[in-house]
Amino acid sequence: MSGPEESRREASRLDGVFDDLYRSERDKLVRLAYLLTGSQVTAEDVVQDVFIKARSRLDRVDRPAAYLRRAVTNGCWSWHRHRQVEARYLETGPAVMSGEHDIEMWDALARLSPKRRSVLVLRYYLDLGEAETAEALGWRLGTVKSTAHRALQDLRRMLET
Amino acid sequence: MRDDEILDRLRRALRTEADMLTPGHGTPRVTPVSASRRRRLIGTTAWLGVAGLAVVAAAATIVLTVANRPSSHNVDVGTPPSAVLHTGRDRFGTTMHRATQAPAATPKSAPGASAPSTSAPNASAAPTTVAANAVPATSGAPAGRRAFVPLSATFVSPDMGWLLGVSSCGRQACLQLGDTIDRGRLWTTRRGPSVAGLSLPSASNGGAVPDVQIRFANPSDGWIFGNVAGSPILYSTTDGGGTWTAQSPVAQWKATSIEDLETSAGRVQLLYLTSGGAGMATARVGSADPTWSATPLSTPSGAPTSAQLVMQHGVTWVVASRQSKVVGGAIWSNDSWQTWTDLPCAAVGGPVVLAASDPTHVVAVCGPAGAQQVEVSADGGASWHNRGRIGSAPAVQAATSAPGSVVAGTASGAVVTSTDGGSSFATTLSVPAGRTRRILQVGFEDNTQGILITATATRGALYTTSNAGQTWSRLPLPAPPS
Repeated sequence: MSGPEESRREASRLDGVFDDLYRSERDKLVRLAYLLTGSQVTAEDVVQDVFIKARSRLDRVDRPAAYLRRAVTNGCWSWHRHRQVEARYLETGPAVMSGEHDIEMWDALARLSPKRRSVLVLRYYLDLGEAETAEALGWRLGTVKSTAHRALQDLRRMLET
Repeated sequence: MRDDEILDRLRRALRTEADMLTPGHGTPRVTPVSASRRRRLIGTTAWLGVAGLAVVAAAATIVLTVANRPSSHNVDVGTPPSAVLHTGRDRFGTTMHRATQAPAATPKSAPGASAPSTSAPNASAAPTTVAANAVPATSGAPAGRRAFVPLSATFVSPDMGWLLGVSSCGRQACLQLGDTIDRGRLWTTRRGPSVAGLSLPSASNGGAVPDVQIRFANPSDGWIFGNVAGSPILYSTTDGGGTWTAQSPVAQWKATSIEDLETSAGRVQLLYLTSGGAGMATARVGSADPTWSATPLSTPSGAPTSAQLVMQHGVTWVVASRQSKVVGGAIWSNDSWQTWTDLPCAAVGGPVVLAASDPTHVVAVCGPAGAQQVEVSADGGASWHNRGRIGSAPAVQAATSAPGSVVAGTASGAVVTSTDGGSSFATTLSVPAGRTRRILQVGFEDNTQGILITATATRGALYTTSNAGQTWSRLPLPAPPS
């Protein structure tokens, strides 16, 4: 049988997959995007956009969580690229401060290039291994290793100045 | 620092920051990010500083409003957060509250800052003052390169303000001026007046920040003042900062230093020290060559070593300190100076850091290190009541956004905030262990929005608050000149 009945069933099955993923992944992804962009509003926008675009593809993806992570990383990258074009909005990355926050570390992270910052967030916030980080960023393993190394050097230099 | 220490710190910082988010356990549907939601987020989590960044995201990201069917997208471009932020805050013409600081425990090398200027501009004058020679601020300097070091900020409305800073120009340091009409998210920069003898903070001079500040009374009339290489300086502008003229009366007063300057209700007043005393000078705003009238401050118990002037809705408080003593004070109201007899901190001694949110509510933080006492007055400084203590380090800056609010910057570089009239304080900007930071300025433009300037050994930072100092977020700095 084909026709409206089948496509309705298919749509409702997709809805189920989507809803489960949204429920389990959305907040985690917003936190990730926030650490990558420093803005909650941006993070929510990026993640929202990713879910909308992913909706029709999710059932064809092997590991949807990894797929979404990659998509969010990409989304944050385009945001950074756009931000560079709009160079005026720069410099301050993340920014809510209160007593417990390590402001110096934040300042240092904000001044890292998006690339170096991303690799640190994936490695040390998500605790991904080097291979998983490479997958999430779409980089080669060697690039992950060298970028992480340089990012840590940068951090050390900035924290010690 | 060892690698594992850096990694521990990094992990902790990332986790702490991520945990602060409250993304809301969403409905399992993609729900539209509406303007009202943005407003709530911004309002509750103090995203003011990064909201500027989000403008880009809003422009770039098409926010899709999704109905239940996957295929039916209703495309809607999100409201730029900046517009949202300004909702209800476009208050040119509204009288502004500010607050001020005192040079108190701060060495001369650090500007005892004051706060954004007090008087409100004419509604019709609004934000048209972008100078012809202004250049757009570009991306912040990469780490390590010399950048704009902020010294002092002044706002004539919640959105329109100026930021004075220094940056290197050739072999020396020059004053730079940034102006903004969107509350510090976007700056245009230009050179300030040429002043010889400035130096940038560096490790070799102990991070000494030039003692130079700025105030504007309205979008046109402003002053730059301070002490450079041991001499007082005073410049004024009547064209929004495009051109600056040195003011000669400084010599005539025999001033050894200019301690403070504020403007409110069509007047500008400054406070100076002489070799044996202090004096206040008053001029009307809006004249290219103003006539200043000077009045000596009576200081019966000794020559002051520091003094502070706070102006609020046309009322001015002046207090002078000598080491741990309060040696004199004066109040300006109804167009004349009177001796301030009921000075704050009579029992605990000075130095005193004053702030006021309106002509009747005044706050003083004073006393010896380790016993910093908060005193408040609800009758314009006629009587004082003890409140709590701010902690061990002495206050170098104080501000109050409204009765009940007290924000103090301490000599150790922390910022503490009280919402119960100074009885209890929470640390809202802390200093990481082993680091030094100085608070150059804390001030409010209205009863929630404020500005904070900090300095480390070689850099400075600008913060904003939209909740009366309960949280602070970073603002971008103007670009240094190319």
